[in-house]
Amino acid sequence: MDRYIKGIVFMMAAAHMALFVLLGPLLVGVVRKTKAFLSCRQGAPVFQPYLDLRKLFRRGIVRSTTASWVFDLSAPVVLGASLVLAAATPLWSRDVPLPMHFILFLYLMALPRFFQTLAGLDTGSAFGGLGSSREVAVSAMAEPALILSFCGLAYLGGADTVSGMVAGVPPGRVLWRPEVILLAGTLFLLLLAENARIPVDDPATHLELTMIHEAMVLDHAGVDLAMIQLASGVRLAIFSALVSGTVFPEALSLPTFLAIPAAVVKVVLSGALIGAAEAGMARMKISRIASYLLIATVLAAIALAVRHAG
Amino acid sequence: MPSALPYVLAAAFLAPGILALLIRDPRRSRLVGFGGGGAAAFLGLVVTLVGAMREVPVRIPLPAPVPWAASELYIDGLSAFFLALVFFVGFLVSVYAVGYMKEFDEHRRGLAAPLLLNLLLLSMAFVVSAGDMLSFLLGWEAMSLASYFLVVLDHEKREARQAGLIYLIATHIGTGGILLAFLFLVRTTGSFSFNGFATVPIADPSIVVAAFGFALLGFGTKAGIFPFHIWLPYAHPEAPSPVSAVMSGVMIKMGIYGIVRFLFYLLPAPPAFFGSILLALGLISGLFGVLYAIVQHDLKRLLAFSSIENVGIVLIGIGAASLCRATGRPDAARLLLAGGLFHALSHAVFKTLLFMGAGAVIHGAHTRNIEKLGGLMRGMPLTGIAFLAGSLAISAVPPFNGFASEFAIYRGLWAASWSAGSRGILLAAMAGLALIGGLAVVCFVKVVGTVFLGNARSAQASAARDPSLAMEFPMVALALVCLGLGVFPSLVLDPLMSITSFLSPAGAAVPAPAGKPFTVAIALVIAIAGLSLLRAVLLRRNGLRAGGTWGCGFPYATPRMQYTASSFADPILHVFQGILRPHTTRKERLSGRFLLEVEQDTHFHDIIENGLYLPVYRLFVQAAFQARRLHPGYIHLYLGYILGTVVLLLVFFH
Repeated sequence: MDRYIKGIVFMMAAAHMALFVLLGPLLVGVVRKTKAFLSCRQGAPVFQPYLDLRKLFRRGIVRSTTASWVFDLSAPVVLGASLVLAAATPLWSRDVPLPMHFILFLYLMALPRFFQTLAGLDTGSAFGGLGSSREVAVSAMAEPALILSFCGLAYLGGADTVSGMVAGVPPGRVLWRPEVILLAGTLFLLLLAENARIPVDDPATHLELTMIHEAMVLDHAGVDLAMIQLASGVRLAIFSALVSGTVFPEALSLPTFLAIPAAVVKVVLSGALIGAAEAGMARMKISRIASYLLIATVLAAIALAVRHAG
Repeated sequence: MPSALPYVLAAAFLAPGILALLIRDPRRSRLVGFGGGGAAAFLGLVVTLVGAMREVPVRIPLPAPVPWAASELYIDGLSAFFLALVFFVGFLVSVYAVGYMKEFDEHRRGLAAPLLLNLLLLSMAFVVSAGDMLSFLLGWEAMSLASYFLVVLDHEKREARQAGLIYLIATHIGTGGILLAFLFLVRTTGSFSFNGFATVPIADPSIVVAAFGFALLGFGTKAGIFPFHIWLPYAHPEAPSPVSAVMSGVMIKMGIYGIVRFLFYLLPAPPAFFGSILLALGLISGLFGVLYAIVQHDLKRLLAFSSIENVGIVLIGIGAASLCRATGRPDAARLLLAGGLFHALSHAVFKTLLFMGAGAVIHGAHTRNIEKLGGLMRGMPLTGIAFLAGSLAISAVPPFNGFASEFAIYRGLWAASWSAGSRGILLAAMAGLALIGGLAVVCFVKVVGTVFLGNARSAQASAARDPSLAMEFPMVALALVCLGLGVFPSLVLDPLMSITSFLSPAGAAVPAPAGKPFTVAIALVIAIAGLSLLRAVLLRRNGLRAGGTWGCGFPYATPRMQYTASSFADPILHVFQGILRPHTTRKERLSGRFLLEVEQDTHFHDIIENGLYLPVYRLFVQAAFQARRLHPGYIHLYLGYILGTVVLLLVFFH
C-alpha cells in the first residue's frame, strides 16, 4: 500500500515536470501566434517552437575559443535551475513535487541569471556584455516589486510556500477584490519584464544593439541554445501559472482529471493575453524600464496597503 | 585550569611574532611568525568550540589594571560565537599570509607584520571576551593600533600613509564615542563590569538615549555603517590583502559585536525607535554600499564598499530584532538577531575568501584595476572557482551561505509582519533587502565576468598564474565552507538560536521553512548533472567545433572590444545617478579640425565625504591655521604664556 502511494506521488511529480516542459514551448507558440493574428499576419504554426527545439537538439555547436568552463556549464544550470523552480510552482494542484518558501523561490531565480549573464561575458563579445549588463540591471530593479507582490500573495493565501500561497488565495469574486487585481496586475507586469517580453525587451527584434536577452545568448548554439530556449519557455510557463493561479485559484482544487486540462487552458489563455499585450505596445527605451518597474513596485505596495487597511 | 588559558593563548600568539623579528631569513621568519599565529588561532578555535559546548558563561578573573576596578574575562554564548569567528578566520588568514607576504620580503619590509597580525587577532579575541569596560577598551585600542600599523605597512606609498591617517582619526573618534557611552553607564550604575551595567536599572531614559547614541557613533565607525564609513574604502585597499581580509572579515564585526552587546545585553529595555534607527541605517548602508561598489574599478575598493553593504544587511537583522523585541514579538526578534549574527559570520567567510582571491589576482597580475584584467580563469583556475563560489555566496544565490543568512533575516521580518504595528517599515526592509540582493548580483557578475572571463585585457593579466599552495588552501577551504553552510545552515543557525534564546525564553521558534536547503541543493545537483551529461552525449553525437566569437562578421575582434566593467555598470549608474553623482572630465586633442585623441575620466566622489566630512575638515584646518599664530617659535613668548597662566591661576583659584 505504502509503495503504491509512493508510486502515485512519483508519477504525479513526473507528470508535473513533463507538463511544464511541454507547456513552455507551447506557450511561446501561442504568444507568437496571437501576436501574428493581431497584426494581421499568418504567423508560424503554434507548434513551431517544438520543431525549432528538435532542430537545435540535433545540431552541433561552434564554441568560442575564448569561452571557459563557465560557458559550458551555463546552459545546464539555466535549464536545471528553471526545472527546480518549476517543481515548486503549482500548476494543477497545490501539491507540488518540491514545496518551496517564496523567498527561496525568488532567490533561486538568481542562480540561472548569474550563470547566463556570466556566459554572456565569457565569450569576450561586446554583445554578450551588453545583454548581460542590461539583464542584471532589469532583474535587480524588478526585485522589490517581486518580493512585495509575493508578500501580498502570501498574506492572501495564508501560507509561505509558493504553491500554498497561490492555492490558498480565497476563491470567488476576484473582480470585487482590489488587492487580488493589483497583485495579479503587478505579477503580469513582472512577467513581461522577467521574460524578455515587450515593452521591456523584444524577443523578435533584428538589431543586436537593442536586445537584452537575445544579445546575451548570441554565442550559444545547438544543444546549448535549445536548453536556454526551453528554459525561457519553462520560465514563462512558471510566471503564467502564478498569474493565472492567482486569478483562478478555484482550478487548483478541482479533481485531477479536470484540473490538468484546466491548467493547460489557463496557461494557453495567459499566452494569448501576453501576445495581445505585446501586439498592443511598442518597446520602451531602455532608460525608461526603471520607471516601468517602479510602477510595478508601487502597485504591489498599494496592494499591501489595501490588504492591511481592509 | 581555564584561568591559565588566556595567558597560554596570548603567549602562543605573541611568541612567534617576536621570534619572527629575530630571524634573519625572511622566508623562515614568515613561516615562524604567521605559521605560529595560525597554530595559535587553531588552538583557540578548538578550545572555544569545545569550551562553548561544555559550559558558558565562563568567568576568568584578571589582575586589575587600576586599583579601583576589578577586571575579568566573561565569555558567554555571544562572546564564544565571535571568538570562534576570530580564530577561524585568523587561522586561515595566517596560512594565507605565509604565502602572500613574500611580496614584502624585499628589504624586509614585512618584518613586523607577523607580530602585528598576531597582536591584532589576539586583541580582537580579548575584545569579545572582556567582561568589564577597562579591559574592553584596552583590547579595543590594541586592535585599532595594530591594524593601523598593518595598513601603513607599505608606508613608502603615499596612498597607504594617507589611508592610515584617515583610519587612525576615524578609529579614535570611534573610541571616543565608546568611552563616552561607557562613562554614561558607569556614572549611573556605579559599576565598571558589564554584569554590573546589566543588573542596575537606569531610571533616566535620556541617559539610555545618550549612551546609545555615543555607542552607535563608536561601534558604527568601526563597523563601517553609513555615514561613518569613509575610512573603509581607503584603508581596506591599501592594506596588504591578508590584512584587508582580517579587517573586512573580522575587525568590522567587532563593531557589530559592540552594538549587539550594548543593545541586547547592557542597556535595559531599549525603546523601539533604537531598532527603527538601526534598521534605517542598515538599509541606507546596504543600498549605498552596493551602489558605490558597482561603479568601482579598483577590485579591493569595490570589495570594501561591498563590506559596507553587508554590514548594512547585518544591521537590518539586528535593528529589526531590537524593534520586534520592543514591540512584543519575541519569537521574530530571536530569529532576526540570530539571522543578523549568521550574516556577520557568512560575510566573514565569503569576504575573507574574496579578499584572498583579490590578493591572488594582485599577486599574479600586479594590478587592482579590473579594466586591465580578464580571462584569468584560464591561468588561475583554482582561484577562479573559489572566487566564483564567494561571489555566488555574497550575491545571496542559493544554495550558498549568503542566502542562508539573509533567508533567516527575511523569515524573521516576514514572521514579524504578520502582527500589526510597524508593518510598513518591516515590508520596506524586505523590499530594500531584495533590491540590495539584486544589485549585489549586478556587482559580482561584473567582477567575475571582467576579471576571470573573456579575454585578457593586458599582457600581465594573460601571464597571471595560480599562487602557491599556502594561498590556495585557505581559499578552497573557505569556498567549501560557503557551500557547506548554505546546504546545512542549521550548523550555525541552531547554536545561534540557543544563544539568542534569552529573547523569547518560553516561545517556540519560528517553524522551519519549506524546501530544505539540502533537498533543493540535491535537486539542483541532479538536474544540472543530468543535463550536463545529456549535453556531453549530444555534443559527442552532433559534433563540437571551436571558432572565434561572433563579431558581427568582422574577423579582427581584439580584447579591447570587449564590454568593459564601466559599460557593464552603466545601466545602474544611469538610474541611480542622483545618488552616485558621476564626475566626468574629458580631454580632447585636436589637430586642425581632426580629433586625434579623447581622454575621458569618470570619478565617483562619496557624497558623505564631500558633503559632510570635507567641510568639517576644512573648518578644522582653518582653525589650526589661526591657532598657529599663538606659537611663532619665540621662547620668551612661551615663557610669557607660562607666567600668564600662573598669574591667572593664582587670581582665580587662590
